[in-house]
Amino acid sequence: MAELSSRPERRISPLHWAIFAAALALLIALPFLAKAFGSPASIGLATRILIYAIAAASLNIALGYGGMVSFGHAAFFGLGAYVTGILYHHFISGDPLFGVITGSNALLVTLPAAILVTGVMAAIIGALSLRTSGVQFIMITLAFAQMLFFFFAALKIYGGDDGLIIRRRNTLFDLNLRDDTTFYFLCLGLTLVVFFLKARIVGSRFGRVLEGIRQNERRMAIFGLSPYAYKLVAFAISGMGAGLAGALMANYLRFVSPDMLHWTKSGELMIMVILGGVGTLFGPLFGAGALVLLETVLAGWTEHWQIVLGPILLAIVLFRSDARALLARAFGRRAA
Amino acid sequence: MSTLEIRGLVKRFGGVIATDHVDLALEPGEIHALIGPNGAGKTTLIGQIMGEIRPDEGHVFLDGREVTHLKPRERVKLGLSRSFQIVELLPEFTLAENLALAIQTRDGHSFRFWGRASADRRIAAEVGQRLAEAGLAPRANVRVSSLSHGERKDLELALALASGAPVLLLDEPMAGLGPSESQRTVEQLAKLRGEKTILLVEHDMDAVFALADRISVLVYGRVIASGNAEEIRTNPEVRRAYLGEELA
Repeated sequence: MAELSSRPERRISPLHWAIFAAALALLIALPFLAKAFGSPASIGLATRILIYAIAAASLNIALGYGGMVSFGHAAFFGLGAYVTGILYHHFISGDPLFGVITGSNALLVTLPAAILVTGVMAAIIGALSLRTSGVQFIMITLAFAQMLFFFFAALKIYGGDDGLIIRRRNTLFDLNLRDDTTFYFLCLGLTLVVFFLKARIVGSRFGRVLEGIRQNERRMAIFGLSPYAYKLVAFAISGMGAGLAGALMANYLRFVSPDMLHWTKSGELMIMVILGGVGTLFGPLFGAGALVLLETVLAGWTEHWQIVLGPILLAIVLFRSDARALLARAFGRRAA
Repeated sequence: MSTLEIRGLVKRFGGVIATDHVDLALEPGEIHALIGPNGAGKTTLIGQIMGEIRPDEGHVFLDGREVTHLKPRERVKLGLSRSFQIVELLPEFTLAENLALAIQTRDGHSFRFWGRASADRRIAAEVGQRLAEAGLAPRANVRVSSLSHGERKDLELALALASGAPVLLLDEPMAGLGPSESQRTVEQLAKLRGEKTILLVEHDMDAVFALADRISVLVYGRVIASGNAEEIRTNPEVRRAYLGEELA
């Protein structure tokens, strides 16, 4: 009996596949349903959910699987957005960035550029931050993110506090991305790709080691490997995913501002992971959906909608073991 | 050439000397027991041989090569592994998953992002075999956090064996085990004689006398005697410091 009840859910169960298939069918049908029910605005809402799901899923690689409680992932989200915005700015003005890099409005250029730049930035921030752990790690990732926030807020050529306007979404082949439904399906396709890649990484040898490091670094060192190197690679991958999400958000909003790098955005991404389930594959999708919908519905009642969010989070932390384990990792190992 | 040799090892913690000019040599294939009262510095010594604790003075050689300044993971690559007295396991993984990771990491780096780790048949087969040898097969899919103390100790030992390392530092593998559990561990270790070179720290004197080719006695960080079971049993200084008169 113990053999059965204590077996952790490692493989995806048939029930999970059924939920996933139903969710996918709903997501594909959503734009048509929205039009049929006369609510085209919900397409935009769903697009935002998908983009945040990509960001939260990426954060979950570092946070849930690797046990790295990053409070600075807005830095990568915002940086990905700024890469898109700045490339567009130079595309319009015609003068190259740093005198060499010409601007672009082609999605096939801007998305890889955003992923590359955020990956490099995550590797740099990670290389320094991962020398610490626990509360120090939280604070140092927060500090790096705030440095980037103030950097872009002060960067007058790219709008400073006011941000950058992207007059038209990037182009991809002959697709009309200005159409919200087309852009929605682009985001849906990329979300599927991201979740597929995440599933492969988590189930790979690398993923096993990453989860081992989260549980016991000392043991992993006796297994003959360097926890630091694995955590750094995971952190960089995690940052790249957040950068991709940021680039998509810049396209969706057709606007980039320092707000996307603000620490409250890091908090929102973390809340999505916690709502959906720390260290789960599809959890961040549901977490992102829950938070965006909660905000939309509750904000219609009152601007103090977070009064409702607070008790929900508190209940999750009190009653769900994955959230408790996260807190234990963040603030020492007492509560595990 | 000795498989493992330490020369003049010294470790001080403030005013306390935990390792006091210790010399020790393990010949290929021998089981060398290290005994001594609590606080004699046995675990500290293992930590220094493994590279987790930096000695203040002295040298550690593995197969004649100096490893004094190598990191633990670099010594692992040279064929050294250890087990812990207070187990260091992966609590959220099952027994089988713990062992699978030990075997996987033996293959070198794990920067492989694509193939499913759990689909590796070679690893699965070896996990099954090692679980059976350790008598843990019925518990293969139980999470470590739900295991009994004895099962955790068995897994700790199984992980050290699964490392494939020819040189093992075993820190009290029988601590807290019942008589029948201890007996099984003794039988397991006896089979390794000649195959592995083992430094065995243990308080269970029956196990030590049954297994050890040679025994060294550590008291207050100093090796006060070294020899075979008979020499140690009859050494007056050892009896005074550790064994007690009842064994006479």
